[in-house]
Order: sequence, then C-alpha cells, then structure tokens
Amino acid sequence: MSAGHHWRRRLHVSTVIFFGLVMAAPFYWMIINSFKSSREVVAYPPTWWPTEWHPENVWAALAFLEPTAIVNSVIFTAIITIVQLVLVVMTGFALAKMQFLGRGALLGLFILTMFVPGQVATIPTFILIRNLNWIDTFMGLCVPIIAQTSFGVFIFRQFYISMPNEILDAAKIDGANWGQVFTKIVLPLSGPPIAAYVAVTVLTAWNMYAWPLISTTEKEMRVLPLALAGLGQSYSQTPPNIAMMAVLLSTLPIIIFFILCQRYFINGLGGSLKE
Amino acid sequence: MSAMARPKPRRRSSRTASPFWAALFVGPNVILFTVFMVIPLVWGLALSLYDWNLIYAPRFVGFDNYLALMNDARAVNSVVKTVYLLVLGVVPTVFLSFLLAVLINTSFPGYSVFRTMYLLPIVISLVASAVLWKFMYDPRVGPIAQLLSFFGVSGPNWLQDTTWAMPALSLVIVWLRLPLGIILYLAALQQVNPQLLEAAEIDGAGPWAKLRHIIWPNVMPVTLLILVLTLRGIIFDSFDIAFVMTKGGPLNSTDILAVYIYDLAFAQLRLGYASALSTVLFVIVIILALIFNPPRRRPTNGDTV
Repeated sequence: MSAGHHWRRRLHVSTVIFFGLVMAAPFYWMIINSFKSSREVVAYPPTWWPTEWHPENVWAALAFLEPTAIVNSVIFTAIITIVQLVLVVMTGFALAKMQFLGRGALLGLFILTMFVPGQVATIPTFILIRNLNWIDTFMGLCVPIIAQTSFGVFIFRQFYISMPNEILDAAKIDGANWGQVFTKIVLPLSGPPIAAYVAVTVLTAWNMYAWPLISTTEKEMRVLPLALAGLGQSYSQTPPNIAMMAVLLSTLPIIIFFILCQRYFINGLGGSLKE
Repeated sequence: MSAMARPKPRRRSSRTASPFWAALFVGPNVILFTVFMVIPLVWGLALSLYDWNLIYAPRFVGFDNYLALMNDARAVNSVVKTVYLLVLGVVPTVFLSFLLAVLINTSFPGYSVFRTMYLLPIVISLVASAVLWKFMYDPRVGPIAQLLSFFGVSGPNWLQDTTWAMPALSLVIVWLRLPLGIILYLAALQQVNPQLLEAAEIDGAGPWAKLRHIIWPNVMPVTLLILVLTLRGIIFDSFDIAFVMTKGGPLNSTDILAVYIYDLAFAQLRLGYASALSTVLFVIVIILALIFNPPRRRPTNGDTV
C-alpha cells in the first residue's frame, strides 16, 4: 500500500475516534461529576478528573431516587413490555396469515394511527382514566401505553408476511388448529423480531415521562424519570454530584442492557427499513 | 407506512380463520386499541368544540376555541417555536447522521468500542439527558463554558438567553436522535452497490464526488425515512426536554406547542381550548407527513434487484 493511502487511513481512524469521544463526552462528564465531592463539583474552574473519588455518593443518590420509584419503574416496564408483546405478536400474525372478515380495514386502521402524535389523545385519555378512577394506579399508568400497538402490529405483520405459507398449511392439513400452529410452529420461528421488539420497548417504557407525569399525583406512584425531573428544576436542593449520580444510576441498567443486546437494538431500530 | 395490503390470492382455504380464532387473536388488541386510542382521538376532536374545566358541565361553543386561538399571542408563538425547533432539530440530525454513518462505515481493531460510543445516547432517557445537559450548559462550572473560555470566548448563559435557549435545546435533541439516524444510514450504506463505487473510482471520482453523486442519491429513500422519523420523534419528545430544561422560558422563547398544551390542560384546566390546540398540532403533523411522504420502494442500487 502506498504511503498516501496509509496516511489517509490513519486520519480516518483518528476522525472516527475523535467524534466517538465527542458523542460520548456528556457521559464522561456525568460519570466523573457523580464521584466528585459536593465542594469540588461546584468549584470554579471545573476539574476534568476528580481530585478525590466519593463512591459513597451512590447511597445519597439511591436515597434521593427512593426504592419505590425504582420498583415502580421495573413493574411499569415489565407490564408494558410483556402485555404489549403478546398483543402485537398475535395481531400481527393474524393480519399477515389469517383470512377473516374486516382484516383489510383493521390493517388500515393500525397504519393510519401510526403517525398520530400521542399528545392528541392525551387529554381525552386523561379524562377517561380519571372517570375510571384509575389515577394513581398501575392500570391507569400502563393500559393507555399498552394500547399504543400500531407500530408493533405493523412490524410483526411485516415479519410474518415473509413467512412461507407452506409450513402453516402443512400443519393445518394435519389437523392442527390455529392455536397449535401459532404456539408450535410460528412462535419458535419468531425469536429475532421478538428480541428486537423487547429491546426497543424496554428502552421506551423505562424512559417514559409525560404520561406518568399526567396520570399520577402521589409520590408512591412515581417512576424514575419523574423522580429525576425534579433535579432539573432551578429550586432543586440536591447538589449536582448527587444529581449526576442519580442520573447515572437510573441509566446504568439500560446502558448494560444496551451493551449486551446491541445487536437486537440495531435490528429493532433498523427494522423499520425492512419493508 | 408504505406497504399497504396487497390483495393476496385466496387459493388456500385452509388459512380461512373461523370467527372464534380470529377474535381470539385480534380481539383483545382491537378492544384495547379502540377504547384507549381510537375513541380518545375522536373524543379529542369533539372536545375542541367545548368549553370545559372538569368542574362544571361541558358547554358547546362551536369553533370559538379555534377563533380564540388566532387572537392568542402565546398560541401563535408556540406554533412558530415548534416549527423553529423542528428546523433546528431535523436538518442537523439528517446531515450529521449521514456524515457520521459514512465516517464509521469501516472497521479497525477496537472499532466496536467506538461505534458503541456513537450509539450510546440512545440509552439515556429524555429526562436524564435534560438534567445532564442542564448541568453541561451551566455558565460557571459547565464544560461548554469552560471549553469556550479556552478559546477566549465568553459564552452566553445558554438556557437563560432568549436567543440561545432554543438552539441549546435542539442540540440536546440532535445528540439524542443521531444514533437512530446512524443505525438506519449504516444499514442503507451496506446496500449501496460496491460496483457503482468502483466504476466511479475508475472514472476518477474523488471521495467528495462519490459521496455527493453516488452514495447520497442511493440512500435517498432512507433520508426521507429518517426525516419523517425525526420529525415525528421531535414532536413526540420535545415536551420532556423543554419541560424539564426551560419550562418554556425564558420569556416564552422555548414555549413549544406541547408545553403550552400541557399548561392549558393540566395547570389551567382549560380542556376544550387545549384540545383545540392539540388539533392544530395534529394538522401540522398531517401536513408534514404529506410533504415528506415516506418512500414506497427500497433503494434501487444500479443493476441489483
């Protein structure tokens, strides 16, 4: 290889590394500041490396976040992911492979609502939840979010469209009913899209803010983003090092989850390409 | 979005489902979707014709809410601010994610670590990043002010400055939305026919010419997709960022529609009026969706199918 090519290659790699560091810089700032002392974190000029490390900030941050908010977030995320997954897999399959009256109309409805911003339905949904006496309950918190199935239905329908009919027909001729076909043949083949869908849904649910803000009033029902949002207010009494530690702790599970399942995230998010 | 149901040949009667199985598979979802999505959507439109504060009985006012909106300076301002944020957010997201995807569409030892860095913002929640960036923008101890003073520049107090607050918010949004654009562009770049690039190289095309005349036109369908997803994403997400970082201030300079609607509906309890403004947002989304009609076909890569 020529010297010019070699030099260009080095420049390319350095540029990749440079912008990677730029993109990750806010995370660096979050991590180093979450370990600074309360004095150092507000000292001028700011330090780019903590002079001393304070891992005990973890306890202060956990006390701020409250165990209930953490538990609520886990429950909220789990319920939404599991229930919504079951609904979208079954509906997506039915719309792709079953023939029944009204199938076309149903598909059209899901596609139409895919790009409607949630805010348009937020106010009536709030009134509905209030009339059902579901304010400050997990039902009120989860059900309206679970009902946002259009995107998932569409993704799974696209996946099942490409599944060959022959395997289904063979089982049907052998006398299997739809339930058996679905659980014995279809589900075992659905691993990759399910993993991708779960990855994206967990991420979305864990980070959700606006609806929990509207549908809950009591502190006992708060999810993590609600607890965190208080740190952004100008009247916040929490020192920035504890605030950064709280942000870090609330993001850490998802960072680990992301690094472990990066492939599924990329498939799930890139999945909108595969039409 | 693009793949509307093409009529399938109905030769295989074995896939005709009895009403029982069809209902079992789609029924629960359809009921939930109707009650918590379709009905609220329609109800929201109806509500915009009423005056209601949750306490007294709703009063029908026809189109009065919409007429009042036109004379409401804050409402007009919030539409302008929303469009401004969309422009500030969408344009950099599309171009930067394209350039960064081209940049990192390579491989070297340790590459995956750096690719992960580009995608990392996808994991952090809007609220968490709002809190983090508020600290980053701190005029005294924030790293941005510190870096600028390195170059002898004394930056503004970003979030308290009516000129700079909105660009500051949009930077956070761009940072958060770049990973998705990069992922989609990376997938699209894999589809670009290498023979086209080789042919261009033989014809003497430099890196810029290849980028401009081969790669960019070939990923155009994905660009449109990213455009639509980013527009949708910013309309969906901007509330969290703006509400936590600036609450619409200073002096309503970041008072986007979502923030004003929240204020009207849940602080002032003017539900009918807020619904009318939501409908305006809805119309803006429909107009944008029609302008940037998502692609109907996959990219055509020269002679490949």
